[in-house]
Amino acid sequence: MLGLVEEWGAWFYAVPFVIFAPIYFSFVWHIGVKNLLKPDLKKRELKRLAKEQEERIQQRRAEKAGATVRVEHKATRASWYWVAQGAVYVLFLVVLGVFSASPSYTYMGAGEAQIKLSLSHPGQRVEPCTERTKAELSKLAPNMRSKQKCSRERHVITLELAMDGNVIYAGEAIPAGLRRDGSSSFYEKFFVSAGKHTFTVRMNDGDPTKDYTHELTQVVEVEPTQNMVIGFIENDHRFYFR
Amino acid sequence: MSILKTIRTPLQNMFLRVEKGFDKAFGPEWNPMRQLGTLAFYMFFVAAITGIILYIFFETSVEHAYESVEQLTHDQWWFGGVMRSLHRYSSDAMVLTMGLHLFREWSFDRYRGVRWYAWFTGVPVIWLLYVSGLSGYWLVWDELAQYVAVGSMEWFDFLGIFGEPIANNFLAEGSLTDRFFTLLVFTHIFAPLFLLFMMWIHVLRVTQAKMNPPRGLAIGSLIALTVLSLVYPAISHKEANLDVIPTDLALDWYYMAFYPLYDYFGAGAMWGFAIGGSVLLSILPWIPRMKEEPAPVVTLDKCNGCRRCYDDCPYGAITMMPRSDGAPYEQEAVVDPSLCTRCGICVGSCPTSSPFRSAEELVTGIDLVHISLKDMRLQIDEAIKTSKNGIVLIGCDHGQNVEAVEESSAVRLPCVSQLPPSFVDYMISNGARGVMVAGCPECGCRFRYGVEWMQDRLEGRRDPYLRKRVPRDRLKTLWASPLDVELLQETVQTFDADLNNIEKEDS
Repeated sequence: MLGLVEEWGAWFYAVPFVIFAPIYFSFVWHIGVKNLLKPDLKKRELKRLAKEQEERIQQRRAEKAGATVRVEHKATRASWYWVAQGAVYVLFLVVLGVFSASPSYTYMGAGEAQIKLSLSHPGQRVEPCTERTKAELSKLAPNMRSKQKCSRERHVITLELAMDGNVIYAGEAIPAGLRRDGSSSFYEKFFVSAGKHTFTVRMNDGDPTKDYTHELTQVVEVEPTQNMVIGFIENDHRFYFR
Repeated sequence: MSILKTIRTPLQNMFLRVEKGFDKAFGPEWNPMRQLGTLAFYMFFVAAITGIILYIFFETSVEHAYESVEQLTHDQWWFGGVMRSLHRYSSDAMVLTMGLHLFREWSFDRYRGVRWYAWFTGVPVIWLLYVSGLSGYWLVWDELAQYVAVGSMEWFDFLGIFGEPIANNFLAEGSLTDRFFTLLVFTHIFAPLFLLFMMWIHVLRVTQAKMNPPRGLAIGSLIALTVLSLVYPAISHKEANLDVIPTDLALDWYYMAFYPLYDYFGAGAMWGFAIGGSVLLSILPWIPRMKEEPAPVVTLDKCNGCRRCYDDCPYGAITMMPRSDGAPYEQEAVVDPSLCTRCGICVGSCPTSSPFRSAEELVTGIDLVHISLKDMRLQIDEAIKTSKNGIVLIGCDHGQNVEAVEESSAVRLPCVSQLPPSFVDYMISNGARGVMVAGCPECGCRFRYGVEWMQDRLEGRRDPYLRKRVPRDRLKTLWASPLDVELLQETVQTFDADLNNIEKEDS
C-alpha cells in the first residue's frame, strides 16, 4: 500500500483548498459580497425601517421613564486592553503548550527491559470424564449422545516465574465463567535489568500428583528496552519465550 | 465559619481578582473567566471540526496510521499539520476550561440546591471527555499511543470482566489487528458523540443556556490556538513497536496525568481513585445539603397573568398555566420549586409589587416567603430612619459588602433585582436623600441576569419601569466585585457630595 502522498497524488495538496473554499467563500459572502452581487433593496429598506422603529420605541420608553440612571462603575476595557488581551492569550498558550508535551516522563530506565508473563489456559477438569453406558446413551436425544460425560468445572492454575533462581512471581488464577469452566488467565509485567538471565516458568494446571505439569527453563539475553513475552502455546502445550 | 467556607473563600477571592483584571483587558462580556463553560463548548466544536478534517486523511490500519499522520504533519504542515495541532490544543483547552469551570462553580457554591442537576450531569462529561481525548491519542500509533493504549487496557483488565485480558491485543508486535484498531477508531468517533449528548443534558435545565462564547472571544481564542499550532506544532513520537518499551515520553499532562500515578500505585488504587472521586463529585451537592428557603408563592388575587415574571426568571422556574380561579385572565404564573433559586427577580418584575399601600394590603402577585415584600419594606423603612447620611444602599447576599459603609444604611436582598423600581420612588418619597443599588459586576451576577434586568428596569428598557417623577440624580447603581471595598466607600462619599451640591442648588 502506498503512503498518503503517493496514493492521493495532487489531491493530497488540493483537498485542503476544497475544504477551505466553501468556508472562505461563505465568509466573504457574508461580510458583504452578497449585497454587492444581489442588492436586495426591499429587504434592506425593511431592515432599516425596523431598526428605526425599534429606536423610536426605545426613545419613547426612555422619555417615559425619564433620564438615564447614572452607573457609577461600569467595567470597561482599559485603553491598553489590546496589549493586556494579548498578554492573557500568550499566558494561555504558554500554559496550554507547556503541559501538552512536557515535562517528559521516564516510564522505564534505558538499561532496563520488561518481562510480560501472559497466558490463557484452561485447567484440567475437576472431575475426570467418564464413559457413558449404552443404557445411558439410549436415554439421551440422538444429537446429545456423546460417549463421554464430563463435568464443566476446571481446576485453578498455579504459575511461578523465577529469574536467576529467585521467584519473581507466584500466583494462581481461577477459571473464567460463572461455572468456572473457562480458561484461567495471567497477565503480569516486571522490569528487569538488561543482560543475560536464566528464566524458569512452571505451571500446574490441575494435577495434584505433581508439583508442576509444565515447565521451561531458558537462558535469555535480554536487550535494553526489550519487551520479552513469556507465554504458552496451547496447541503444543508448551511455554515460549519471545 | 464552616470548613467549606474556609476553603472556598481564598479560591473565590482568587477568581474574583482574576476576573477583575480580565475585565480591564476583555471587558465584562468577553471576560474568559465568566465564559469558561461556553469556551469548553467552543473547544469541543473546534476539536470536532478539525477531527472531521483529519479523518479525511487518516488511514485506519495499524500499518499505515502512523505514516498517514506523519505525512499530514510534515508534508502538509500548512494545513493538515495545523489542523492536527488545533485538534490537540483545542481538546487540551477543553480540559483546562472545564477544570476551571468546575472549580469556579464549586468555589462560588453554585452546585448545590437546584443547581445539583448541572453539577451531577457534569461528572459523566468529565469521563467522556477523557475517553474521547485518550482514544484519540491511540490513533496516532506512536510510542505515546502504545504507552497509553497498553496502560488503559491493563487498567480495564483489572475489573476482570473480560474472558481474556484485552491488553493481550498489545502483547507483542503483530498482536494488534486492524480489526481491533478499527474498534479504537470507532471509540474515538462515538465517545465524542456521547460527550456532546451529555453536554446537552448538562445544560438542559438552564433556560437560555449560553453555549457559544462572545464572537470576539471565540475569534481571539481561535487565532491564539492557530498561532500556537504554527509556533509549537503537535508532533508524534517514534512509531509504536510493541516489542520495544518506550522509555521517555512527552506526556500530554491534561489527559495523561493519571498514567504515571497508575504506574506507581497500580490499577486497584486508580480504580478506587476514579470511582471514589466520581462518587464524591456526584454527591457533593448534598454534603452538606443546601438549606433551601421555601419557594415563592403566587397570590392569584394579584396575578393577572402578565408574564413578566415568566419572561424575567433566569432559570425557567415559572410557567404560565391556564387560569384556575375563574378570574377573567387567560393565564396564571406557576412556580416549579425544583428549578427556582429563590433569587426574587420575579418579585422585582411583578407590576403589583408596589410599596405604596398599607401594611395589610402589601401583597404582591408573586412573593418570596423568607423575605416578603412586607419584610422588604420594613427593612427599608428602618434603613431610611437609621442612615446617617440619608443614603440607602441596596445590596445582595453574594456581592459587595454594603454593611461596611458606616454612614449609610444597607438592605441586603438575595439579588438586587428583587427590588421593584417603585421601591426607589418610595425611598426617596419617604425621606431618603439617595438610593444606591450596589450589585454584582456586569455579566457576573450569581443569578445570571439580575444586574442586567435591574439596570434595564431603572433605565426604562424593561418592565416595570422606574417612574418619571423620580429624580435620577438621587439614584445610582454600582456594579462591582465584592473585592471593590474602597470603590464602594469612595462611590458613597462622592454620591453624598453630589447630593449636597444638589441640595445647595435647590435651596
